[in-house]
Amino acid sequence: MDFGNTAQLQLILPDGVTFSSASGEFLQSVPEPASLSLVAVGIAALLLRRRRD
Amino acid sequence: MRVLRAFLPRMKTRTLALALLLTGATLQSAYAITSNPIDPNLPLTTHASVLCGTGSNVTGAASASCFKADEVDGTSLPLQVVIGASDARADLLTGTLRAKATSQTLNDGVNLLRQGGLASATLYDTITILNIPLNQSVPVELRMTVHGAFTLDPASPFGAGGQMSDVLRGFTDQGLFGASGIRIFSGNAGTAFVDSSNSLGTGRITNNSVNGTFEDGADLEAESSVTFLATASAPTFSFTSQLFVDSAV
Repeated sequence: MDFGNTAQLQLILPDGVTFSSASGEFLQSVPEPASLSLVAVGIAALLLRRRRD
Repeated sequence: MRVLRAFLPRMKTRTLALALLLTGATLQSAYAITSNPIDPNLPLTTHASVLCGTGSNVTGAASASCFKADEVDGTSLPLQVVIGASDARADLLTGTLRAKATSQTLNDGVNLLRQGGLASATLYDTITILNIPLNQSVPVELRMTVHGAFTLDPASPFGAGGQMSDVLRGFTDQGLFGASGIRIFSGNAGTAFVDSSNSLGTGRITNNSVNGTFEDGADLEAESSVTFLATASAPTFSFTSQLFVDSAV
């Protein structure tokens, strides 16, 4: 017999409002490697285009 | 120019006085939590705690995890061994919790071996809302979305059952301002249902709206939330969130 669950916390704020946490850690996760790779590809494309121009 | 020179120092003083006044007002209203809501014996810097099976609590500043396999040895019987597994994780950085418990039963008609599992994961933190417009209050919602799955044994004479629950609480030094969560319980009749007497707030759940039960093996989705009204003079609140599962045999 299995019982299992996962939970995701989310803080929903009005526009322009931000927050800080006592731990300094809450919901401060860095982008995943896949996201970082996409950003790197984007920067590389921009640099290439600038060089061509 | 003379007028400007005469006015400038006064402006600086007034601005400084106003800034000190506002800062003072904010500091006075931002409450400081005095004991750890997970366990008063833990330091305030411990924000995560997990428990697996018959083990001890594992804690951490921002995350904690545990896994435990509790084994029952039946080598003196024709039956060999059963294992109850427990797995729990809590992580502030991503705001995620996980709890899973598996039980196992072996029965040859004469002999019986059984072992349950239990897992719990808890997080807490104190949040200060920033950039609140003066003389305004802003609603802040802390939401916990739970995805779960369970597989039940058919009705058995062994009293197999289990439960899973999630609870989200928000509080300040004025006390609790919101609580939300659900408890899903399975007795030995082979069906799982929402235990409404032990469910808080308005969670959104995916059970049968008529009889309240879940189909065996069905996926579960539940949503719990608490709402805090933040103002510039009272921008701070704390929360605890907990997942608990118990697979008993």
